[in-house]
Parts: sequence; structure tokens; C-alpha cells
Amino acid sequence: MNIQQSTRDGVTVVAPSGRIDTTTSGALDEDIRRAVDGGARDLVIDFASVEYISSAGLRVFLVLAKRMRDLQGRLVLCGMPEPVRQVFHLAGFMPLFRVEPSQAAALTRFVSTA
Amino acid sequence: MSVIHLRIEPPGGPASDRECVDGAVTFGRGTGADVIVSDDSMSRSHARLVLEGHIWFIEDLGARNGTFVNDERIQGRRPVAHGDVVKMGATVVRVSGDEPAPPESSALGVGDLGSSIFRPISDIVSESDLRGGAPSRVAARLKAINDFHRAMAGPIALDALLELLLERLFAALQPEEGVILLRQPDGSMTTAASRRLPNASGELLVSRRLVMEVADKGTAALVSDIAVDERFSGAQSIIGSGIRSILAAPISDAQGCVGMVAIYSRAHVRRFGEEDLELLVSLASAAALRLRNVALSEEAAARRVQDHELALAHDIQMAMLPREFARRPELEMAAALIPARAVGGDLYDFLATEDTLWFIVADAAGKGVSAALFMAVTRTLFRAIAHSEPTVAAVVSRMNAELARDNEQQFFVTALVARLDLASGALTYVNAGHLPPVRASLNGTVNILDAAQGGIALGILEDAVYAEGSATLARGDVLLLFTDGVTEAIDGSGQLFSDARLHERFAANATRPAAEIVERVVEAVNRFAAGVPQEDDITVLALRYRGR
Repeated sequence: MNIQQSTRDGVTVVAPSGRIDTTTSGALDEDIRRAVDGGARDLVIDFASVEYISSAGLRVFLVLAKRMRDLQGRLVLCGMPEPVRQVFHLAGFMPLFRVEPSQAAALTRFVSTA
Repeated sequence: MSVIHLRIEPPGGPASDRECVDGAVTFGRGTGADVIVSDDSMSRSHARLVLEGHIWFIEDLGARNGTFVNDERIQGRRPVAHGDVVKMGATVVRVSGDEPAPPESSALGVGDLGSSIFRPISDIVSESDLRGGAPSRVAARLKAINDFHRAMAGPIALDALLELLLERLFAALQPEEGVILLRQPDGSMTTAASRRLPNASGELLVSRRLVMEVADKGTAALVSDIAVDERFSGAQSIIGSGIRSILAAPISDAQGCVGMVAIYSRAHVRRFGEEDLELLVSLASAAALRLRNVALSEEAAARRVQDHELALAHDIQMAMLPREFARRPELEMAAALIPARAVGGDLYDFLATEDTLWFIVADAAGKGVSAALFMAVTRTLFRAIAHSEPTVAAVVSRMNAELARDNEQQFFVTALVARLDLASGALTYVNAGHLPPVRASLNGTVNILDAAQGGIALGILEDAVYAEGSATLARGDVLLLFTDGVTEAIDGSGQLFSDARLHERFAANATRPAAEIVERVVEAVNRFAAGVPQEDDITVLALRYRGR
């Protein structure tokens, strides 16, 4: 798994690629945690290059959503390929997240709600 | 040792001293020489001292009056060593310091210390040595090293080995305090053993600076008075504790530094000297050889204990799963659960009464011990709550609320919880984030029971609401419940086993006994994933309703 991180207009964009499973979720969790520890409060996770996500992978985003709620930060997920969306959907987790089709759409959420 | 000391005595005086560390040094009266001597009987470029390997050679550069070593004229060059007297013209050069040192000292000893740690021996020779106590002390120290080697020869635990080292150091060097630090897998150094005299003052502290000097650079340290040693002038932690004299040595073997040992004493109690350092280095080196072996064998033993624990946990978890299925005329049931590791997060269970059958297939997120604990809690909740609530939705809501309480780590479990009325075949179920069950009918059709998505996986939202789905099983209908370890099993090319393959296998075997259906599905998954390590726990449960 490869993890890209960038900042767009003050919004931190994390874009993992490949498989998010028991083996790789630890590294992703740590990267995101570090970004939030470093002060990121507006966060976009771009799933466009994610091939697969397991239940252990889902936990990373549940923990993140909980933390962002506690910190009163904003979290938007975007770019989910259908298999990834299915995993979120089947577990019943879609209502827990703000989800946008693309990174561009995700970034507008921060402009309009600012 | 490659350092060589020269005392150069020109005919008219005065004598001068020079230390050569490496390279080549030329002697002569000409301005081009490295060492210019005012001696008319010398050539402008007379002789050269050159280091090759660890040996210094003196080489005559064709001097008119020749070069002599111990009064013997040399042709070309010859090696020089401690005690040799070289004569060039009327100038005498006395060689010293090129004695072979004991191996410990050459690797770690005072010769390698920075000048700010090293103190001239005259500063640190204790009064007892001057009174002539030295020989018996040397003997005592040799005995200490010998005894230590002997004591370590047998089987010994890590803690005992460290205690032994401290004990011998206290006996031989009489410090007030001593501490052993070991390098951890993450590279940090932590205190593994310590000892202090009851009347020792101050607190046992090892500054980061000292760790850096000793463990990271691999040098031994003799600090005879910290207060004036510039290397520690900023280290308030040591100065503040009132300690004035420190000896420290790395615990190193051929593979590197595994730790360090340091002893302290207030200077007015005991001031350590150079020979104390040599003894410390010797004992630390002796300990190092055993330490890595002991650490490795303890690690292996710990792993064996852990493997044994996991094997026990596996047995306990498997025993939680029913193997005897309800022997009732209305039912035929079978199930299989194959964890990816020793223990896993999958679960199946059932409870039967006279008129109803409650059953569950669930999948706790992740793998291994954490998932297994969550699985065990889920099973206990299912057993405790099923029967006690009027509806399936109420049972699932209570299980969810219990699991969600204080769930900081956001563990969750997807579950299919169902109740079957044995008389009528009426099935009520809640799908909490799980894969929907599949039904095969006698007429050969296969359909998915996804009338309603019941709600979010258990454990995340304490007040989540769950919706029930319902169906009526006809005589001969077979229900198949499973976890995503089945449909997401991967073959060599990265393809998923998928719902489609599962449905096909299920349909092809639906008329067989339940146990055979389970067997055939698991077989198909194994064949599909041949050679690819199992990624996730696999669970399959088949239930045939025979009617009353």
C-alpha cells in the first residue's frame, strides 16, 4: 500500500492506494493519526486508488470519524470505487460518513460550509 | 596499537616530544622535512617514519651519515617498536608507546577515549596504590574476571546474569551505585538491572549523553570528576545528583552493542582509575558473549509459551462452537469454521427450544486475538439475550448496546441473527452489516434474503435501530449463512471467490445432506484458493427445514 498526502486550500488530503487490510491498515492508521496530531482538522480521504478494504481497514475510518467528531474537525470520504463502497454499505457504515463521488466535490464541502 | 611516541634529542638540545598517529613523518635539517632538526650532521632529508598496517618502519632516505637503530646501521628500512633508539646523525630519537595492548583495551579502552574523558594516570592513582597495595589488587581483579566466567558457564537466566555482573562489579570495584541498560528492539536503551549501596546518596541517573558516548559510539568512559569535565558540563542530571566519578563500558559483541554498564561513586568515597575501567570493560565483554545467547534463548522460550497459549486459546474457542447440531425432526443443520490464524473472529451458534430455533453467524472485525475476544463476548451476549426478548430486533439492539459501550477502539462485529418458528417455518432475521443469507428451494431456485438491510454492524452506534426481515421456509428449503472469508477468498490471480461461485456451488449441492453441503462449499473455496494463504476466517452454516 502506498499513501499520498497533500494539502489543498488548508484541507489535508490523504490518498491511500492498493489494499487496506489487516497487514496494511496499521501504517495507514499511523499516517492519518500523525496528520491529525499535527493539527489537521479538515480532512479528505480519497479512495480512488484503493482496490480492496477489509473489516480491519474499516476500523481505521471508524476510529478516525470518532476522533474528528471529538475534535470538532471535518472529515469527507471520496472517490470510492464500487467494491469499496459496497464494503462500507454492507457493514451499514455509509450514514456515519460524509461521502462525495470525487476529490473535487469533497473539497467544495469545505468551501460551502466554511 | 598504531600510536607511537617519539622523544627527539638534538645534539645541542633542547629535547622535544612528538606523537605520530598515522601516515609518514620525515626527519631532516631541510625546510621540507616534517620534523626539522638543527643538526649539521643530518642530511636535509634524512629518514622517514612510516606506518604500514599496525607496524611503524624507519626508512633511510639515503642520508650521508646513515640511520641507526639500536646502534645498528639500517639498509633501506626496518620496523621500530617500544624501546628502540634511532640515531640520525648526532640526533637521538627514542621510541615508546608501540607496545601491543590487551585486546579489550584496544577495542574499547582508554586509548579511544576523547581527551576530555581521559585523565592522566597520575591524577587517578589512588593512595592505596602508592602505599604498595597494587599487586594483591591485580590478583583480586584477575580472580574476579575468572570467577565471573565460571559463574556464567552454566545455564543462566537473563535477570540472573545481569545481577551476577552487578554483584561482581560491586565486589571488585566498590561503587556506590551501578546500572545496566539493554538495547530494546526499537533501539532505545532501558534500565534492565540496578543496584546501590544503602547509604548511597542522590538518584541513579544515566544521562542521554553518557548513553550516546558509550553505547552509540562504543567507547568506554572514565570520568574522574564530572564537575570539571566539559563533556558533561551541560548534563545537569548527573551534576545535580552529586555524583563525581563514573565508569561506563559498552556491552558489545561481534554483532554490535547490546547494552551498557555504568557504575558511580561520589569522588570522596571512591575515585575510579584507569585500571578500574579495564576491569569493567573486561567484565562487560565477558557478559556480552553470554548475554545475546541468553536473550535469544529466552525469546525462543517466550515464543514457545506464546504458541502454547495460542494453541490453548484455539481449543477453547473451538469448544465454544457447537458440534452437535439440534437433533430434531424439523431440522437438519451443519456448520464449519476455519480460522485464518490460531484464533479468529468468526462465530456461529444456535439455541433451540420446543418451538423455536435462534441462530447466529457473525464476523468480528480483524483477525487473531483481538477479534477472538470480541467474538467470545458476542457469543455470550447472544446466549444471554436470545429468548429473553420478544423480537429479533430487540435482541440485536441489546447486543449492540452492550458491545458499543466503552468501545474506544471501534471494534465491531457483523452479524446475521435469526429466529425460526419450527412449527410454521416462519423466519425472522436481522442483518447487522452482514452478508445476506441465501435460500435454495426444492425446485432448484436460489434466492438472496435481502428483503431489508437490518442496520449497522454491532458495536459502533450504541442507540442504533435495527429492522427485521422475514421469510417463510417451505418444507425442504435450505438456508446458507456464511462470512466474507468465503466470498472474498482469493485465487492465485487475485480473483475473488465471489457470490456467483458460492451460489453456483450451493445450487449444485442443495439436495444433499446439510453436512455435505457445508463440506462441498468449503472444498470449493479451498480448491479455488489453492496455494494462496487464507486471508480471513471462513464460516459456512447450512440449515434445512423439514417442517412438522
